[in-house]
Amino acid sequence: MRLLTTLLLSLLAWAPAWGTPTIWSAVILATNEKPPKPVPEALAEFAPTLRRVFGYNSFYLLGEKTKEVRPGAEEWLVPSRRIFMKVGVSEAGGERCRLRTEFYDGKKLLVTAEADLAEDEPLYIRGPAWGRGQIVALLELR
Amino acid sequence: MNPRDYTAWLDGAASPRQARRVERELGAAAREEKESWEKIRVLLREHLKPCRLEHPDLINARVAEVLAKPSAKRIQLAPLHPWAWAGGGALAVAALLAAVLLPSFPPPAEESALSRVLSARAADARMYVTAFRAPAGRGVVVWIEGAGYIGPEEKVR
Repeated sequence: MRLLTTLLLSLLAWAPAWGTPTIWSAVILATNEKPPKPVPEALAEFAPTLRRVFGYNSFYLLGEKTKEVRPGAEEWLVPSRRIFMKVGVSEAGGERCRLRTEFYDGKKLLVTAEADLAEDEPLYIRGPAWGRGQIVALLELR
Repeated sequence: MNPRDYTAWLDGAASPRQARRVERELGAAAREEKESWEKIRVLLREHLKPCRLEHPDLINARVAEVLAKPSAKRIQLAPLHPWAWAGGGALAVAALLAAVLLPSFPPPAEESALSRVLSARAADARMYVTAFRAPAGRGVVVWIEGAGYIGPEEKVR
């Protein structure tokens, strides 16, 4: 009995180490403006990559959402009314997780992607064009 | 003979099937046996009187005292069935094997610092999807070509 209890307690103690990843998601509108608009604080660290990859100089944060996604579970991340994502985490450990994401424009599924996400290594998704700009979604493990 | 059937038959509480079984086993003696038991019952009822207690109040008080005492019953855990031990052992072995044999997650340190896209698939054949590492930056990009256009008058926020 004592042995069994010890074993169960060890398993329970081990379980939290698997961790529940926290995913931050954001929807950004990238545009070219003259003069360029100041970058919102939440996007400051992403701005150099956004400029370089997408070729725009101004960025607007249309919405953001942070959610814990339990391994094995799926969650909806809805940073904006129109652009959102369904995220499922299959594995998590240390400072990374494996996730499967479905990226939606309204009811329309655009892409399904599976990625290993490391901390401070965001996933950028180039979405539909909007007006004279471009919608970009961001997912980051926090 | 099943003693339970027998006593039920003597008391007249046996089901027809129980009664048939007992009477078949007792044979001719069945009727005699039942009659003698009836006689004993009548005699007991007539002659057996409750005994007189010398100090009924004292006894009642002691009984009440014992009943009122909180029970110091020791909680005993049911002993584990051998199958439970076998199950626990199998679980421990499975956990050990999983930890040793399954591929480790996260991957080795040099790989774990970087994100990577394992697969990316467009939902529509008119779209084209590619994935790459962000040049000179942090992170990975899933680039959808042909994802459509949202008019400036439409709300996204």
